[in-house]
Amino acid sequence: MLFNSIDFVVFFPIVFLLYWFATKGDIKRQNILLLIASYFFYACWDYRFLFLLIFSTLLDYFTGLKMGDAKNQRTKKFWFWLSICVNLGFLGIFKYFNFFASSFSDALSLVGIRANFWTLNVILPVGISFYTFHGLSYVIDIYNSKIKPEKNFIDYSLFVSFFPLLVAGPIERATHLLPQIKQKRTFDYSKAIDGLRQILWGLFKKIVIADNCAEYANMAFNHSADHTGSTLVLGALMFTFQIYCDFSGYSDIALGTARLLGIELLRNFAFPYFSRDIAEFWRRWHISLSSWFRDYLYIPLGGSKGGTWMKVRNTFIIFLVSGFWHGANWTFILWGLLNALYIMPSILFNTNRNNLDIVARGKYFPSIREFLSIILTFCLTVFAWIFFRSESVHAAFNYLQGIFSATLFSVPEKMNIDLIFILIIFVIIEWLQRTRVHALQFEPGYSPFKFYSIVLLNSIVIWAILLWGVFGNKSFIYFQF
Amino acid sequence: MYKKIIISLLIFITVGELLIRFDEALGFMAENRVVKIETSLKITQEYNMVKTNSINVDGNNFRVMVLGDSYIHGGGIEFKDNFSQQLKVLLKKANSKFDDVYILDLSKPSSNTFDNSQTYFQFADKFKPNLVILGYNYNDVEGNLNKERTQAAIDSFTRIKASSEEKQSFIKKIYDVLYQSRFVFYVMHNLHDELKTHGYIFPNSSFDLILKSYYENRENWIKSKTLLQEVIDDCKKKNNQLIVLKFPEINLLEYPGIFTKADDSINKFFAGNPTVNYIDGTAIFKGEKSKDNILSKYDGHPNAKAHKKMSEYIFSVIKKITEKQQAFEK
Repeated sequence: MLFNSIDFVVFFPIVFLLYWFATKGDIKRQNILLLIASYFFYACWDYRFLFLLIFSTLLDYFTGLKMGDAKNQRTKKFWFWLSICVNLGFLGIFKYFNFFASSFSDALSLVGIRANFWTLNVILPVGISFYTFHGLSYVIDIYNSKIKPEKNFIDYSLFVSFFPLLVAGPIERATHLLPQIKQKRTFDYSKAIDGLRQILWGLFKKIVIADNCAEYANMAFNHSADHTGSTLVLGALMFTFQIYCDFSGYSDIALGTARLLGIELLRNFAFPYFSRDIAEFWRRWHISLSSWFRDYLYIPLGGSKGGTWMKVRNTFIIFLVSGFWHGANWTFILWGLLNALYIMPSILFNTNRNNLDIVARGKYFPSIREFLSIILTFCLTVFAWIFFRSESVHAAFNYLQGIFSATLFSVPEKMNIDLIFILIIFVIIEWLQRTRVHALQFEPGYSPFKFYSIVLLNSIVIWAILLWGVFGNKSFIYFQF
Repeated sequence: MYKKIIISLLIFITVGELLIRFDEALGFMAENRVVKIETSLKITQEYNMVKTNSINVDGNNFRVMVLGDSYIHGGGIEFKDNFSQQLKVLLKKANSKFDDVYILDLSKPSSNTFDNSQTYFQFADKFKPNLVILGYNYNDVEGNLNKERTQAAIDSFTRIKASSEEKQSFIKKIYDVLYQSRFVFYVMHNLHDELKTHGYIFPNSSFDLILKSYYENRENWIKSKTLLQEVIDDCKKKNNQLIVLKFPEINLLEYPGIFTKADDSINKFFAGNPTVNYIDGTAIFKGEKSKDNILSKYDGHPNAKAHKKMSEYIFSVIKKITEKQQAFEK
């Protein structure tokens, strides 16, 4: 079931009404209802993989309890590593087995050895990377004595399977979500309205921007040899907006949906294309994953405590792992590597925490320096996305070769002026609202004039979705991760 | 509170009205609309040959005339993939007796029964078809059916506007008056389209009125029957074989119940004419899913795959009915 499907339009109001009215505010009933709804939501995609999700939940739940009960460090360590190995083992089999088999085979063929490895013909279970990371953060936190194991199985299962975040994040932490699951929740009208607006903005980003940009990006990337350099540049730009609006749109819908149920999820995007350097970009892009890697990989590896060399090494490791997390393809690894290279100057010169505040706060326009920094960061990001989007490394280099040709300064083919116009309006709205959590967020307690202005803006967004949206249940890009 | 809700609703409707008009006037984002059903008229080589009398109509060749609207003309697909062109390939491949096979595709998007009969009489003597294939569509009863048939010159075929394009029906005019608001029209139109894909037809919608024409034996169906009878009689007189292929609404294959009553009326009419080889197109797609044969779930136009299936089916019928059957056996 996709957020932008008719199924979800029917599913969610039923869950919402039952949740607030049929459970009579009883937390136990609310959690059971949410868990059933979450499993149903997941089973709509493929019920067979529901068993994998339940198994993963059971594993982490029991190993968590065992770690909590362990009488010595050795026993604790045993349960910890059992959970880590099984979780990563599943992820490895379902997501990476074929990649390793074919890469190893290719490597052997380079030295003249021909080997045919057995490959698995399996479907990637939707959201496996996300719920595995939920489970991992939970067991790591227990191992590090940051949290106590959760004894209530329903509550723990809901933490792993809560449907708004189940298939594409944000990647939650037990420290953040579990207390909310255990706490009595009351309906908050202003939060619910804000949640609805966030869903609306998410739908706009997904259906109007991402899916329309996808048409052009697919045309450019699928047949790059047939297009002019300028068309390929525009194709890369379209993909840049597609991936941002697709993924952040999904996150907005997830956050808004959860807020309607009285639960606050971790923020996943904070207007990343207005970043002034790559370090800032990574503090604003897929925040829940970046912070996960920071807390569970970068810091355990030593973080920045061991001097420059260790900082450089650890940065490369987390970016390579992050690339690999996105998919079993060398293109993702190269994309991670590129980002590691981009961030190197700020690591080496210790300027990676220079831009912690929101750009041009309190002003309509950025300074020239800020503007140029934003443009440069954006261009670097666009360049990296070419590797992310290409089918193979070879295709990515062909794409780049196509860009830097004599046709680079020609008029792009099949340029969709209407879409570019919508993109400009979109960027302006996001810029004006960059201090907020999402672009349709407004402070409560407004005057009648402001109220009707907001109604007007919301109406325009709804009609834009209805009139210019692409309908047909296109999948969200991050479902594949 | 109520004041706020009412004003908010008014703002929403006004924004909708303005944006829909803006969208329609400028064709905003038209580039990215998912399905475009192009229904321009394609002229075949055979048409030009008829114009210049290059076909020896008394010679040893097999001549097929194809009539109908955009459904048989191939709206939304490449002309080379349409019914007549695929049938031509099959007939030419199987031909072992005739000097040549000619398929004169005179189907025209938006044509109705009057147009089809007009086209038939316009070309029948000039082309002398051995076989006439009429693609019949439910909406062929729409538009102006009461025009005077003229012996218009063959040259004018491409210039004459199809009747349903030329004049709006009374029902359509009433519909337009009722739905002057683009907001209401947009909502009703999309709601109807969406419900239709689930097998629900709005009472008194244009589609419902078309189907009612048949089972309530309304004036437009009575007139259509007269026009069809003239074609049938002429074919009989001239010893031309006539195949009538009634198109199903291919996007609604899963809901045959919608059409039962209308189909009964159509079947009854053609059953009364034993010289007609009547084929209910639903049979061609029996057990098939709509989604495999359409361009869009909101539209009944067949895709190239469906055209292929229909041409193969008609080819097998031709093999059975043609007196010169042996000519098409390998």
